[in-house]
Amino acid sequence: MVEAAKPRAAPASREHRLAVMTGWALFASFGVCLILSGFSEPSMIAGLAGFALLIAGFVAHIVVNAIFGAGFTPPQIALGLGAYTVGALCYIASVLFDPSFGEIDVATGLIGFSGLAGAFVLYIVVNYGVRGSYRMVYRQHAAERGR
Amino acid sequence: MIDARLAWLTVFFALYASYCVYWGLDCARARRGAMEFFLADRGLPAWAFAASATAASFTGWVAIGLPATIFRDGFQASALALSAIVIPLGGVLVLSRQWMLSRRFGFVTPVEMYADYIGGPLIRPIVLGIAVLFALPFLGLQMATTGYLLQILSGGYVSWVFAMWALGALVFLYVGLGGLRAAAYVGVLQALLFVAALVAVGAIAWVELGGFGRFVDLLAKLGASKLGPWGASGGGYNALFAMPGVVQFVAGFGKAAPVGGVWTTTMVFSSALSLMGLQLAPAFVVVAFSARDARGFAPQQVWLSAAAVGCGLVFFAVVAGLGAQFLGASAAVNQAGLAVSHDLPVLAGGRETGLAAFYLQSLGQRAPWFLGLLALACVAATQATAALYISATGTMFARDFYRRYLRPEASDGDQKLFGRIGVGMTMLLALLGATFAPHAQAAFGALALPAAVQLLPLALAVCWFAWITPNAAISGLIAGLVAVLFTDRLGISLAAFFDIDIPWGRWPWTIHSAGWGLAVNTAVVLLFSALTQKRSNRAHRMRFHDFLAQAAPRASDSRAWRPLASAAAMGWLFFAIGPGALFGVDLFGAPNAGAAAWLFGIPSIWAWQILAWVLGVLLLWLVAYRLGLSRPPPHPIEREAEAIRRRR
Repeated sequence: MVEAAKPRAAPASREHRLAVMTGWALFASFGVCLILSGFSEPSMIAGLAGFALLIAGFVAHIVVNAIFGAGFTPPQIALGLGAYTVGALCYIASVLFDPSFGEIDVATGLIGFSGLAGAFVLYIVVNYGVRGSYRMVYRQHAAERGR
Repeated sequence: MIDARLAWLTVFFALYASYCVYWGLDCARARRGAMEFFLADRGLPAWAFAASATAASFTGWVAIGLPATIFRDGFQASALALSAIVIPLGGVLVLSRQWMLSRRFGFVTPVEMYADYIGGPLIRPIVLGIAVLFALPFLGLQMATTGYLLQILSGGYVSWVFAMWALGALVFLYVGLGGLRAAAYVGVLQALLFVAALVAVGAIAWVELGGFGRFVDLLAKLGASKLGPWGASGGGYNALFAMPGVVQFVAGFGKAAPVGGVWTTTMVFSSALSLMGLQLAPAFVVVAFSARDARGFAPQQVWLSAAAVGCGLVFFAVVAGLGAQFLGASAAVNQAGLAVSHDLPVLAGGRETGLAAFYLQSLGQRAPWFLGLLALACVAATQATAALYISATGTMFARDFYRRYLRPEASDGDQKLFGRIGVGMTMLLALLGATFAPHAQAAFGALALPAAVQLLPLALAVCWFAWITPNAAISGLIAGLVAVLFTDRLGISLAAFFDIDIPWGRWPWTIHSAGWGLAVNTAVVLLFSALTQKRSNRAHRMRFHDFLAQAAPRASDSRAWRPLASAAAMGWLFFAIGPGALFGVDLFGAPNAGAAAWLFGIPSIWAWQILAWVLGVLLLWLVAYRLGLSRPPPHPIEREAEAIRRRR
């Protein structure tokens, strides 16, 4: 049984990677373009549609993970959080230093970034429960402190 | 501004190139044998096959070319959108069965399959020749189109030759490294981008026109006029809103052009048949052989091709094509004061083929990032075809030429090496042809689809009809190819070169060369089959047919459904793309009667085409799922060990 499963492991993992990368390539590229359009027009609908596409990309990733029986890998989590942080910093910098950044842009960014964070939190809560999510983070901190 | 556009083009193309090279390297790293390189070890997952095969089936022509044709010729040309049904219909008939035969007997290429079935020395070079037509001139044309697209979008900063060679090098790199698997894996993203490009071009037109209601009002005004290149049709309507009859007995292009437009119902029908060649082409069959199982066939044919791409074509391509009339692209409409903006330049004298690029250019003023992304999407749509086809041609070069004629004892490594050489040579020759002999390439490229569809009777013989004898099939194929040649540009030019005056031009009687070829082909097949039944080696052929009879999926009540499906198919072909399409011109309201008189609020001919599309999807569902023609076989396929051993 174990031997039969071995040769399938590599192609399945590659196909999982392909599905994830394809999904993100599509959703992220169109999402980011719409967000940029939303900020430059300025148009809240375009901007929020862009953030909605990013959330759709996240949901698609979860669905693909479920189909392939896999979870988020540490590099994926790092990349996701990193991209979110960079995006949020760019947004904050624009709010602070770009005089052409108007109210609609501020509102679009606030709603969009909150939505993204909310989707992430919702996923963790649904997947691990409120207590489980808290413990997961707490244990990780504790482990890091111990180290 | 041009800098911003160039910058975003560079960003998106750099990301795309990284993605392609990543998958090329990833697939190459597996370091497996020739079968991995040629056929992805027959392990392409159903969903990856479905997506990449859809992109390869439609090519960039659909996203880039169809809106331009609709802009020029109006709703008479938009009937071609129904090729979204016709293209997979060819696949439904034969693809699943060909896949089963490849599993059973170990065929790596369709050339091997046809040669085994037919026997004799002729079939192999003929099918290889058709494959080469697809690989070289047809691909060269596609690559040149992407080059021109980038030249327009970069404002002339990047020459089309440079763009074409750079994109060709990228395709060679990832296909040469990773083989068919890399081509198919990248094809998944390319398929999604292709649909996105199709929708986006229509959506840009939609927005620039100011919404659907305004578009319909403008169509009503145009319908009441006689504006357009073809003036009035025979029925007195604007020819952009009508079809110029069932057939016109004119000598053909170059001798006497038809009146009221090109797209008679016979021309639409025969052109749609020609597009069927995309799924019958040897290279596409190689892609089908690489599928891990047959689960991907029906979804690819029914949901992705017919439903999703069909929706894009009947709605978005039409809005993009006809919408351009009111966005400054038509000088006559501009003069009549019907244009709502001048976002597009006046497009005439062949310049209209760049319509998609001009749409993106108009977007580039406001959102250069979208220009970069959508330009990439258009290019990716074309590259999907290029990648899969050069990979399959490399496979055929290694298997059917090198191994067959030069070194029958070639090792696994040798075959893989020559597969790579085949990929490189194919791309190199296609690009050289596009650069230095574009006219010759266009003449040869025009033959690719009509030549490929001549394989239909042969494929039907292999998959369905044992009564078609090998002699009949091969004679029909040769006769069909000759008919194609001499009813298209190349044959007529050749005849003129030898001072032979052929009394007809290109596509005489408004019948596409594919139609002429298929008519001659079928007639010869029927006649020769009747004459050569006794001499045919039926026992050998029955090896294929007995296996298919026992292994092919069949709905339990297929006997009851079969007559219904046949009648439905005939009815659909007649009313959707055949003579019956003429009913649609004014059945739901006269084109010149205004929007209030149109039953569905849109021009009658458009409503007819949308209805035909919906019924076409149902038809495909019926034959693919209900009759089981594209369903996976119910039991695992037992391999014929001896046949497979011989083919290694």
